[in-house]
Amino acid sequence: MKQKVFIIFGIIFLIALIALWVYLFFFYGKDEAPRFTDLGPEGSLDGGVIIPPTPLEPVVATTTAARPRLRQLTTKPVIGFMEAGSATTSLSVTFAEAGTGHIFSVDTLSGSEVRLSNTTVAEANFASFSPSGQIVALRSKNDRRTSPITIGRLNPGESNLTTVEIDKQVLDFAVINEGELMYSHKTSEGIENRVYALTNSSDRPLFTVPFYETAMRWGTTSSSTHYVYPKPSYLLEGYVYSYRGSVMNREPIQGFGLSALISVAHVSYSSMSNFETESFIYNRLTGTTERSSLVIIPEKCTPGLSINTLWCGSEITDLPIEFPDSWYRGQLAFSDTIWELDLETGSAIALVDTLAASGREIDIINMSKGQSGTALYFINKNDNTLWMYEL
Amino acid sequence: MVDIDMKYIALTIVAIIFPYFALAQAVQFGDQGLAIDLEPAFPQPGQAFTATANDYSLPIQGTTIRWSINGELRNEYLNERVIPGTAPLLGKEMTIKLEVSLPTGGSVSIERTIAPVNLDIILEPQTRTPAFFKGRGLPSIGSKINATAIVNGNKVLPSSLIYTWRLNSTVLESGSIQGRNNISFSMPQGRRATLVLDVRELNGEPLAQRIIDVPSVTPSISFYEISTLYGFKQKAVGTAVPLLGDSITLRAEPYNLDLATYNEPDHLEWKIAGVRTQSSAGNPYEITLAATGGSGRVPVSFHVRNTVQLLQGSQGSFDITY
Repeated sequence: MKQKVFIIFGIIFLIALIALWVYLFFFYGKDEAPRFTDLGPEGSLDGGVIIPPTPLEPVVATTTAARPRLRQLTTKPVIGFMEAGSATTSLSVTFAEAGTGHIFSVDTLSGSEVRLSNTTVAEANFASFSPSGQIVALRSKNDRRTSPITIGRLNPGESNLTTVEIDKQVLDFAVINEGELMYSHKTSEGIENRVYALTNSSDRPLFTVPFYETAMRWGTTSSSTHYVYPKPSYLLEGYVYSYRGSVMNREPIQGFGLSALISVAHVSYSSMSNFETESFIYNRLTGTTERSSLVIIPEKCTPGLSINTLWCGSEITDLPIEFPDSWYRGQLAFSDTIWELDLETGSAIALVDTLAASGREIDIINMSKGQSGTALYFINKNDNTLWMYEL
Repeated sequence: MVDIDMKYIALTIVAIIFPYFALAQAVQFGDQGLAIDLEPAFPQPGQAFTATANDYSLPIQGTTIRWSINGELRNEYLNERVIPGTAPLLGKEMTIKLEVSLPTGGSVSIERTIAPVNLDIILEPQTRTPAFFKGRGLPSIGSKINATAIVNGNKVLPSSLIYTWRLNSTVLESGSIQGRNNISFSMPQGRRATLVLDVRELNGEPLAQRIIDVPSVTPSISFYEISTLYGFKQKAVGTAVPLLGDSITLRAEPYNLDLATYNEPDHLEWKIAGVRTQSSAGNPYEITLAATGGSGRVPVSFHVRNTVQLLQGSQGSFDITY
């Protein structure tokens, strides 16, 4: 009897153990709130659980990781661009694609891209936009030094540009404001610079440069002062000239391999001395000259927000004797840092090392600050993609 | 006896008086003998120069040399034969006065006014560079070069001046020509040539002189890929070019080759693996290479030359990997 009772109690105890195990394994805790990974509202957890402090700026941190200040805006090769919008609205950049001349708009925040025009300009290789981005001048035939140019106007809601053509062998051109386009072409007297009125298509000569290999630096209106110097070469001397109307003046700047960026108050220029490239800043108001700590390459620079600053892409490296020729030939490439150069002292502050920030070698050209003043835009010469850097 | 004495007395008087007479003549012609030499002879605006006292044509040497600049006596240059200076900016003048005291008393002086002139010479070699190249081509032996002179930013009309151009001591155009502010010439043999330009006013008065080196380089070739969609890629290819798709089109760009040779070359050839090949593209400077299966590395070379002017030519090569 005692043995039976002992066996029965043993079996019951065993069944109870199995039931307890089944309960714990399958049912215990399934309908309870998670204890240590709760992401619900504050205070939803039981007392005694440690709640990690809320980060001060969690949203900013997340956004920064997704949208770095230095970022690539296009994968398409770009031949010209212009910032549209303002600091208070969403910024976008209107750009022209190499080869096709199609016009796109890319949102600088989301990166979304919209095609604004599918009017094709065959073998397009250079585009210049008006400040609003609504008018664009495009050059086709990318292996020719001169060709007619197409002027197009974007029409809201339409996929085609309204176009007119300047049927001359145009050398250089730029849309300098909403109403004027400057262009140059060869004559027997030299390079004639003309102004084309975008409003009524009238066309008139402005001045003629008495030589042919010109690097033009047009002002912001046809009545502004325009500058010109012979194209640079490390073995040939260059000189800076200015034009107001048709009157030519010699600026006190000269040198071998000369290239210059000219503003109201300063001439920032590079030249070669004893086979070394050096850069200087000539103060037009005081007549003094400062040495620049950076090599200034006009294609890599744009005026800053004040008249005393310049933003430039530059790599601190030893330049070859053949500079800038070898860079223009595409045999030399840089990995640039973006600098803010003080034109009064010649000193510079690094803003961003593009290689460290992006992991890409960026050889900056066509540096431009947007009208909003909140970003720098530029093309990577290595692949012609468009980039921006938020200031 | 008296006659002889009288002769000696007369000779002695002449011997004593003559130097003074000669000195009087020197002083009389001293202004013509004294000069200020500048180096360079025609300093440009803002350019450093040296002024040298040239009194060697005076019959006697001066004892004290004084310099004044713009009317101000400069004591720091007392008795200096050579003084430094900086030419004023364009449109301004500087007057240098040299005064030399003579051992016999008195002095001679001369003034020289420096009104600097910007005489720019712009060289435009007529040699090949591609359209995207933002620089200037360079001369090579036998290539044509255009030179343009600009005086004071064209403030002075070229037609009101007389120009004399010399290349390595050879006067171009056989002499001076009024209004001839531009000229063409062929690059002579050698690594450089010297171009000298003298500019005079119509009355023959010298206005400015400029001497420049004209460099000469050897033409060289770079190769560029051409995309069917985007056209010319502006980055030169390296020595090894990967054939990533079915085919690739490349263009040879002979930099600094005389344009006449570029446009009508006597000899132009592509070679693939050492075998002469016809250019498959319409442009003889382009070649299209297509993959035929397999893999490997094949040398491709390009050669262009003027067979009359043999230095007008260049060759280059790269390897295509597929």
